[in-house]
Amino acid sequence: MATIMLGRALQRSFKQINVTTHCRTLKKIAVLKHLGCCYKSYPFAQYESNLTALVATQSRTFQTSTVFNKVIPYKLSDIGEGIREVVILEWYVKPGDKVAQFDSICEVKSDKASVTITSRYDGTITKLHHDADEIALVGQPLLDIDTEDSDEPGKDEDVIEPESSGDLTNKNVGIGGVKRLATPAVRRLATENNLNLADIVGTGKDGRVLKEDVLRLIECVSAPPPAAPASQTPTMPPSPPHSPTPQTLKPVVPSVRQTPPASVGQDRTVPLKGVSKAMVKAMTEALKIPHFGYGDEVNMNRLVELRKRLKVVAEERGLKLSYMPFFIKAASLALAQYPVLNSSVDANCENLTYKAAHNIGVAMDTPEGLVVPSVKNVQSLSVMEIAAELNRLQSLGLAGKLGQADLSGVTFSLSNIGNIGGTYTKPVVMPPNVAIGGLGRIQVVPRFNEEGEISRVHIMNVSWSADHRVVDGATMARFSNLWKQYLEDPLTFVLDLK
Amino acid sequence: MWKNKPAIVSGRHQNPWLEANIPLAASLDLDIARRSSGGGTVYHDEGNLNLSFLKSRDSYNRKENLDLVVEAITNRWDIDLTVNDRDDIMLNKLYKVSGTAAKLGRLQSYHHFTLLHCVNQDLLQRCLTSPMQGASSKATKSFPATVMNLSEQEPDITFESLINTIGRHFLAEVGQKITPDNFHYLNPLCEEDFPGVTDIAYKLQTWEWRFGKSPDFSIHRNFTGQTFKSRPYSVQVNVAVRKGALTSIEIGVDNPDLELLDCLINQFCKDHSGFLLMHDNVKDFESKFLYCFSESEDGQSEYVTEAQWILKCIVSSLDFL
Repeated sequence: MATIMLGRALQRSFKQINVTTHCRTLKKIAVLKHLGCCYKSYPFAQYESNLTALVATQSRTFQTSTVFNKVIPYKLSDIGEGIREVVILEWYVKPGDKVAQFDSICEVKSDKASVTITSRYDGTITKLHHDADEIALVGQPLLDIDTEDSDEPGKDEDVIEPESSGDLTNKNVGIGGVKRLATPAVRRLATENNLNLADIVGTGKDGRVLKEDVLRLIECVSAPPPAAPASQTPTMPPSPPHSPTPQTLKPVVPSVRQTPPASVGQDRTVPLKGVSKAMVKAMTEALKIPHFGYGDEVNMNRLVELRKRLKVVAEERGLKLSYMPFFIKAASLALAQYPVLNSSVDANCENLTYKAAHNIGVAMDTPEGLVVPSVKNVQSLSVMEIAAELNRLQSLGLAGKLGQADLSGVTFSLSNIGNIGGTYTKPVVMPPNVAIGGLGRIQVVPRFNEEGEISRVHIMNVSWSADHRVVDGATMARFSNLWKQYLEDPLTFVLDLK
Repeated sequence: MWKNKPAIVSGRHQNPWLEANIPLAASLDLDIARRSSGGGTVYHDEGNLNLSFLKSRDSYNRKENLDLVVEAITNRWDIDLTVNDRDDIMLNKLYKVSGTAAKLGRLQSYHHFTLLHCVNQDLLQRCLTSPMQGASSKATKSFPATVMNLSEQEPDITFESLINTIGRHFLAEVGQKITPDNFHYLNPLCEEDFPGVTDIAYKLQTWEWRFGKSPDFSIHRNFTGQTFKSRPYSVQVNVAVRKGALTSIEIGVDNPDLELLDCLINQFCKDHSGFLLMHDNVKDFESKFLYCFSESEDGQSEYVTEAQWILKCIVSSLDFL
């Protein structure tokens, strides 16, 4: 008795065998041989019926009468929802047309749904059983198709079966027939970089491929393009061996040998990742907010004096004192009077949350790029405490070690671009905040004083930006005036410090 | 989720002339469109929210989508919304606020439906009442229903609040919070994001798709009230249309004195039919007819009036264009 291996292995190899019910020859029995079956001693009839039974259990609609070059009635498969009949809307094929598996054959209609029926086989259409506008019943033949002899495995699989591997040519289908989930933007990114989504491991939910996954693969795949010198040897016209070609009066052109391009820089494509990537995302979001700007000048004379003296005191305490702690504290004091500037607006601008804590973000330029850590609860901190905190954040920032706690929770930001240079700026409000200030360089310029004389004045320009959906110009102006007053006359700090 | 400027949208297997008031739409400059999914003809304007659930073929489930949206809305606002057995969403079990349609492909499917929150109901009624008479066809017929706007029941319901509520609920159902990654605006006509969309958009705008895809139909009209030689007679007009083209016009006059005219006109119609059912083509037909059957033809001047009356009947049969 021979053994027949059950299971998918046999099913697959079975399909390579063409079984005819009439002619009792079994072709390609060699396949069974490979599976270790001894077929010769097996009674033929039993073998055949066993196979039939086997196949019947494996595949519901696989027809054992499938033979090569036979005309098959293609039945209308179950559409679902308990629908028993449909109306044929339109035929896409006619008798004599050749179709391939998955080609559209016709469009049918069932109450609310319009369904495209595709071909299960390769073959030629021989007969259509219904005209357009006629009713077709589920389970009855739609048309007849003459299938060609095909020895590709999987061709006869019913497309309705849930186990079917589906469209093998669809490059988004991964191993095991699982369709890769990804948004259109991610798909485009993959296509642009000649990557198959199926090859990318998705780290999102349900194996969804995210942009980061694609970018990671791009990094691995891309190598710096080699500087290949394009040297062109002169092409000699092939001279015919037999007759001497008549000498044409062409001037002898010296061959031009193209030397490799020297000292021209190479383009370099770097995927945006890390901070840059986050910045792209954040800025895209931010610019959806309607901004308005408000600028002013601050006379820093008194503050410059004050800082000179206090700097010494601070150093005794082991701290570096810049102007920032003053700016930050002044901002907090002013925010107490204009709390709307310390608020947060939700994604659709429906709710405004007045934040209790003044977590003032300080934009920092680090080796990684722009980060905005925040000094928390400035309303409860003294200028020195703010200075200490700033020192801490700055050293962490330089080392690239700022943590999530430091980077989150910002309610209001200040950007001291003046540190690097520049006077006026147009800072971008960071959602969900509603305001931000950009501080320019402190310049010494001549100005008229109260007596009408020209004097040296330290001027710093401040450029505020705010979300015009929730902040109006007057509020911003009044806030700026108050902030300016604290800085122009630092003694006013004393009045409002708690 | 999306909205569009005013348009009349018919189902895949429908006859827009039979379902809508095309002349009115043309005069108001409303778009006339046909979708690929089944179902009936609807009127859209910006007071209507369209929801399209794109899923794999295996995940196709209309009830699921409708229940999700009804739940989202009723969780937020106190209104009576239910889904009936025709997959319509009903307000107070009386008024239809949504109609459904679906399209199934081999591996993918979509189910989309409307949601009337602030639509121009007067225009809706007028647009969806066809002036066509005497037509017979196998096209899908729409199911007229009394509609109501959600905002009439709950003024807080707007396009913005709906997409917010439904979007949030949808994401919550799959365990997500709203982030710019999973809740954003996209441009459906962007060729880069959706390769092939430009071609599809082009095809959907052609006359062949919008009107030519109508299933074959015929028109049968009867006109009375005219007399010839003091004998009243009636004119029967039979028009056959296939793939949006007028394949035949036949007239029948039941007055034996006009038999010759009957023959001549039928011959003319045979020679000059076969044009696409468009206004300009009908006008063309009219002018050719008038030229053919004009006063300058000797010996037939007494028939000219009758010929013109018959022409009026023919044109009148096509007044739904």
